[in-house]
Amino acid sequence: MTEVNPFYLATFILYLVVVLSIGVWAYTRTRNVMDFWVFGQDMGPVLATWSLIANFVSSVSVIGFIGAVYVEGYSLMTHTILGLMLGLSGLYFVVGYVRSLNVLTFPDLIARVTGYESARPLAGAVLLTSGWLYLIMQLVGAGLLITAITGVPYQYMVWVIGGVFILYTVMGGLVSVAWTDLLQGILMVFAVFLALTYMTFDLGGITGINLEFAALDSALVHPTNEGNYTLLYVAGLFLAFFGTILTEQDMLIRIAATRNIRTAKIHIAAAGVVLSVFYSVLVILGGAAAVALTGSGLGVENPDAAFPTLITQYLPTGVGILIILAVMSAILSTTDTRLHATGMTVARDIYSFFRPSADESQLMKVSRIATVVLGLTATAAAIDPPGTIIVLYGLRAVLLTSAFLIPVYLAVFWAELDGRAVIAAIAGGAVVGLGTHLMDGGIGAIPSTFLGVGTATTVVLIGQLLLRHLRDPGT
Amino acid sequence: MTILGMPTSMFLVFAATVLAGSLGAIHYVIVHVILDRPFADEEKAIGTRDPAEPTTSPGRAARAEREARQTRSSGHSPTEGTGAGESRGASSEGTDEHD
Repeated sequence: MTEVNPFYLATFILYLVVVLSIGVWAYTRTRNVMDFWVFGQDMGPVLATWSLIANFVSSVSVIGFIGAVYVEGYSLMTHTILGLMLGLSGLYFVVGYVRSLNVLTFPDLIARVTGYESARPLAGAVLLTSGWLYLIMQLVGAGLLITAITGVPYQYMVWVIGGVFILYTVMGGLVSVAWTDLLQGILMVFAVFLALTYMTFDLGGITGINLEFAALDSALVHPTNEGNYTLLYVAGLFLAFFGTILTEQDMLIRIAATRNIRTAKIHIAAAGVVLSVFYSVLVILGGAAAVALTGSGLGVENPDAAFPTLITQYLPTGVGILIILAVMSAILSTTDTRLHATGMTVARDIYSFFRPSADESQLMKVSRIATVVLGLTATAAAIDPPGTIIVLYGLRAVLLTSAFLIPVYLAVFWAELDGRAVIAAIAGGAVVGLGTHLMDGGIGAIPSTFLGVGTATTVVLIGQLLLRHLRDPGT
Repeated sequence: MTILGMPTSMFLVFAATVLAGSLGAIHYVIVHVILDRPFADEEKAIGTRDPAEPTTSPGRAARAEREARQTRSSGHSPTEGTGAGESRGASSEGTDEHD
């Protein structure tokens, strides 16, 4: 057990008290299931923007990305972050249409564009799997960090964090989530900039950081790790992360929560600017972390431990406290959003399909029960996670992109597309994408994302041709 | 050649990332701030658009027309938010047991 820093421990406890208080306050403002699910569809631009930023930056971003830069260098920008940013801008260009449909969830959107209500539980099941995996990743990140900081054993700390975020999410739904996100988002961006400023002075400027990082291994500052990653591999990851943004349940829920199309567009546009700068800063901070830890003999074997080690053993306590707040903010803000989204998936997309007569109070009850059950099971799974944070992150990106990207957005803009072809393509893309990813990341040199997306595209086009021919043999 | 201590190609990836994240903002400023184009929901309310000017793609127009027909025939709004289990199908061809 590491030595307990009382300042870090006090900061952590104070932080949990603040977010729980917001949760209690939000509970009093949650009057019906629409408030709980989508903020009564009255979220303004500032709240929506910061909520999106806070949700977007997760433990994957702060712990996983800094760990990834520690090991593989800046190539993370090429295959992951550039894709994420393009995905966000891509979402901007379709958000007006998506918001005008007034759907609440991604399965709602699929049901709308296919005309098949049965698509809701099918898509809901895929999203539930993805969302649950994401919850585990968040909890692993939070547990690793807070254990390193407070000295409390990981298996206990995961339950403390899990309990807090479950509690405030179940109380106020998206009202809790959005208001805690506002606080967490601002804190997070400020603290990461502060951390890089400190490291910049400490290590002799940005140029100094990069030169020292390159001195460790020149491949670390090369866009493709000096060819260690093939262009096909980079393109596969790029596509997976690009597609993730357009297919995530929580993105659709937040779009539904905005009060109009103007707000929906503003929040994505503004968040895109902030996040693209934020991630650039974060990646350079990862380089700085590698330089600082290696240079001071604090090198780590598990890349996920790089950032916690930097905080606890390298940074002074004052800066460390701010960074802890930032990381906690990043983790909890994403975790609560995903937990809320998975609870809503169960109630809205699955339960209500099988119980169409369910009234508002029943849906609220199911949402809350699902939130608690999924939160608890994810916490239990996080005690012995099935992979590192970045590995799980890639897995769900492949799943979402393979299943949904092409069939759903093709259907959004191609009114004549047959819904049955879309549903078959979703199922085919999910099975092939996930299956090949689990086997060996792909077949031969072809990444699983290409296989999944390729399958979905082929199925939807062939399905459309066949169904059209069956419907109208003359064509 | 290096910029800020990293190869130019790496620097360009950083620059491209910031640009990629800002595409939405650039579009918003040009189209909605400078050119003052209204949003789809405001457009309907204001009603200032030239009727001859196409406001949407042919695919969207066809879908909107079908939605309108469907709404008229079912007697309820297709955009109801809380009506769990109600039909949300927009395509005329596809229906199943819950429609």
